[in-house]
Amino acid sequence: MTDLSITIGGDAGQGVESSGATLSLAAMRSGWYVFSIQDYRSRIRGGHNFYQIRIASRAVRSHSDPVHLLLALTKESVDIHRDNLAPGAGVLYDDSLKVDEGPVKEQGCLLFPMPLTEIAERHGNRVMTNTAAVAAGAGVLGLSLERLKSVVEGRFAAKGPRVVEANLRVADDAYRMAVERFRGAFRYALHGASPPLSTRDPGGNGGETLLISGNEAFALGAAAGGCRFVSAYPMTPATTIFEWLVRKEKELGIVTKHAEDEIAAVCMAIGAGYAGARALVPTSGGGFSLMVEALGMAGMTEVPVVIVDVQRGGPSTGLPTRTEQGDLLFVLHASQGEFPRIVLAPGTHEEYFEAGWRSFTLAERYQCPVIVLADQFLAASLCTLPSEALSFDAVVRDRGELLDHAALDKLEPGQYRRYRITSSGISPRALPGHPNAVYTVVTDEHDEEGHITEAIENRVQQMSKRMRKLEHARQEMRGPKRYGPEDADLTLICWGSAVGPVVESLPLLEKEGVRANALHFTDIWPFPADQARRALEGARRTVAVEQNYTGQFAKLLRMCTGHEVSHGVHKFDGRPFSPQQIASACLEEVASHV
Amino acid sequence: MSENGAAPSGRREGSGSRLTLKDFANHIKSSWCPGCGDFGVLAALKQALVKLGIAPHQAAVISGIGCGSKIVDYMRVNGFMTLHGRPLAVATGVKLANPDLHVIVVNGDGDAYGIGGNHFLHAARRNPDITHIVENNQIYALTKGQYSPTSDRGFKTSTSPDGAAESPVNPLLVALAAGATFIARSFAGEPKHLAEMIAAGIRHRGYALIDVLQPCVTFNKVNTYEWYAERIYRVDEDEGYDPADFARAWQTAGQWGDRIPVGIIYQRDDVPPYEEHVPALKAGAVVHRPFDALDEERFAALKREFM
Amino acid sequence: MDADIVKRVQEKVEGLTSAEAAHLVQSVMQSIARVLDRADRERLARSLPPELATHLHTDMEAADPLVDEQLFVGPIVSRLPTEGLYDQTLGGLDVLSVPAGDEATRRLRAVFSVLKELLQEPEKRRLEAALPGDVAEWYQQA
Repeated sequence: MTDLSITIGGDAGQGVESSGATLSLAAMRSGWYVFSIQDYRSRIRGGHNFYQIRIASRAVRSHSDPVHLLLALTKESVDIHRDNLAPGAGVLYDDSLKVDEGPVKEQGCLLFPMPLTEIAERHGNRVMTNTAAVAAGAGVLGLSLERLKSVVEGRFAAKGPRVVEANLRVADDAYRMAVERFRGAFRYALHGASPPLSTRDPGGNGGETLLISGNEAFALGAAAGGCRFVSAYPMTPATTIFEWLVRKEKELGIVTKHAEDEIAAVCMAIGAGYAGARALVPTSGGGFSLMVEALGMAGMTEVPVVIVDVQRGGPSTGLPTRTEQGDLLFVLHASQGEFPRIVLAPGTHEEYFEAGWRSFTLAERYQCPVIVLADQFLAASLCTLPSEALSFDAVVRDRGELLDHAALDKLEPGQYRRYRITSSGISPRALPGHPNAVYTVVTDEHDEEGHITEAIENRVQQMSKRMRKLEHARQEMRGPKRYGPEDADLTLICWGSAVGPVVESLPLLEKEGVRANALHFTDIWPFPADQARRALEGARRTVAVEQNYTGQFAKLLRMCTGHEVSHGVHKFDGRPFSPQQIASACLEEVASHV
Repeated sequence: MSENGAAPSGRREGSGSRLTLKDFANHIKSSWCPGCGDFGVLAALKQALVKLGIAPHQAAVISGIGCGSKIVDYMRVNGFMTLHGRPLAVATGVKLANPDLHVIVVNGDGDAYGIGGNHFLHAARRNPDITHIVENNQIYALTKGQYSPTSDRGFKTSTSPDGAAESPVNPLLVALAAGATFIARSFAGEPKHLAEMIAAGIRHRGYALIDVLQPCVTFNKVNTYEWYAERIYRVDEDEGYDPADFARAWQTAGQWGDRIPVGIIYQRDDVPPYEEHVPALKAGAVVHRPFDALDEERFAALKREFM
Repeated sequence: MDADIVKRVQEKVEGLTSAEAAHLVQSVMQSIARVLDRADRERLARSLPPELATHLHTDMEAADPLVDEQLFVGPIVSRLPTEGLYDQTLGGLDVLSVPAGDEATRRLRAVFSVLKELLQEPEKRRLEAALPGDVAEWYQQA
């Protein structure tokens, strides 16, 4: 079984991210499963960036330790990542760098010095050194040269044929030299053309594979779900959702608005939602903080809107490019008063895609705000998926109780009541623009027609009507998904993006003699309490694995089910869990509480 | 959409020219103080819509929070009373989702020029086809008598017991500086003139600010009906006044105190409204775009970029 | 202003100083001016003592049909005490606009009653016809 980790390290501004994406795509097109994420380690001095690529013969959903090949774009990269190298790992670098070779050799690792700059300058210019490095890496690893060249061609196409050709010559030269000089000695080189996935290459067996980031998957899901309006204020790590939809504005007919601030962004979306467009607001925790008042407006006026909070390390500006699951209890309780909201926390790229369309359907069915909680790790990681995993057939675009023109035509003028009391709490919705459904929406408490009133009976009726929607929605909330054996000594509980490394930690625990399974929650609110209780019935010892300090999900679980987890594994350094970290933390916790 | 709001399609057909003020009446009893200037704004807004043949279902009146923002509750129209300071943002979303609606924002001076100041600035330079009526009474009335961004220096209230120490916002100058394409002022005590200004603002293709001098009879005993009536003069009384003349408009907008200009202070018609720059609106309102515009084939094409 | 007119208003509204009464009359005349076309305004002016007539002056050519009873009484309310004591429950000043509205109507009626005493029958009817909404009713009752 193949499972390799590659690190590309360099200074900020050296193009580490694009090199990593190029190598990831070349690996995917060569037939491997890939999972990539930029910069996750904590031992970093300022300015150092790196990219971690995992290449495997089975689907992987996390990065992994240790590293088998290091592409060092600076001397310091070697110093920083040396401790994390596997025995026999290779370090590939430009031979002009004064790399401290002694310690690398002493660790039993191999040195792959290459004239990368020289190759780049021979065929083009110095800027193409990254192409040389990626190609040399591909050569040592044993990825397909043709597939690599197809990636290089695609990535530089916009810069014109001369740039493409020069880069192709650089890639060709560096690849061949690396194969010739080092591949034989590299024990982790990929062997055989045994692609576990077919590719779109005509030689493949028909299926197609995608390499997609979480945010792109979500944006694609939103587009498939009939998104018609997106407004945002740029904020890392949510910006890529907005930018992808902006690029598709003309093609898909989605109004995209870069607003003056986050308050404007969410208010515009609520305006668009009121007018009848499926409206989306991508942001991160700081932006969401500004949107809190408007969240209540959507709740009170029963306007559907979707907000995706791509969490990053907080509080305040915090760790702008890092990951955290610190906003859970905040988004559950944000805004004054009580109103129905739905919170989804997708964990995988497929679930994030699904949340893209499902959030709109939930928002329109229950006429309330829907919050999708993602995080930097899920948003920015690239993952290979079989194309059918993002299925168009599965997309549901249900607008709930929306009255169409034919239905409105049949009404008597003055008959329509926007906030009619119903047993489900859902009042049939008419969009502004029809003469038989002229009504007022206010953020004050209002009567069935939408007029302001503080009357006692009406208040009780309208409040109860709104809150009934939540009980209705609860019926379609999904309980936790179990991974691993039904019967286990230890049950890991997680939500959102922690699922990838958590699931991969199960076999590691098994190896240490701990039979473990995992329960993963994606539907957070209204909390699927009954399903959670049932899933926890047989659990012996439970560990909540969360990317935050205070164990927010464990608190929620106790609040809604009474279940108190036995242990908590928390990480709040801004870097995602690795399976190894989870496994060892669980073992420590278990040992210390025996 | 034609400029007078005549309906291009069956959906937008209303009572058209047969409209009367009664079409905009509802049964809600106003909570405004007797004699409040907001009554003038309400009467003028209805009159302007009648005059332009815009039926209640063809307009969307978006308000904020404040005495005057309750206007949407007191008339029969698509109305949305939003949050304090945010109606321009909500209105922008409504307009961009459904440009067929005539979108009108009504809010107060605190809402528009204070808490919502950022949206005001950006709406002015963005130029969406939104008519923005500001009930400027130079006081916070809903919270019962605190000074506002437009209160004159020295104005004494419960939060400025020694008199306001800040210079008042001059909304006309701010709008002019921010690039607004239509700037007018009127007086709630002369609702006929106000209705003309509102109608001109709705007819204007782009962002139109109408700053309304609106006496608060309860909390503002300085800027009263008489105070305004004694000071206002109509800029169009000077036949040479050209609203397209930026320098003259700048000078006029700067006037406050003994003489206060009313009328169309500034207007330029050569800036297309924001909506015309939005590619997704080329094929019409996105609220009418069917979901099946994205089919399996197009979806497959979208996925191809990730291969 | 004619001391007689002021006095007659003072007789009808207890506790009004002569300055307040003069001001009240002036406010009402200005409101009347806004609901009359130029010709009606001039005719009315001719039927009134010059001190009163002078307050009917305005540059407006035609009546403002949108001036309703609220805008009609607005200037009178502006002159009345409408702010109560500090509102310890909600902050700000307690509002007295409802009694102020009633008081404004009462004062308006007083001025109307004086006016009716000064006008001939046809002028009285013409004025009544021009008054908006409830104002005409108050005029009748005056």
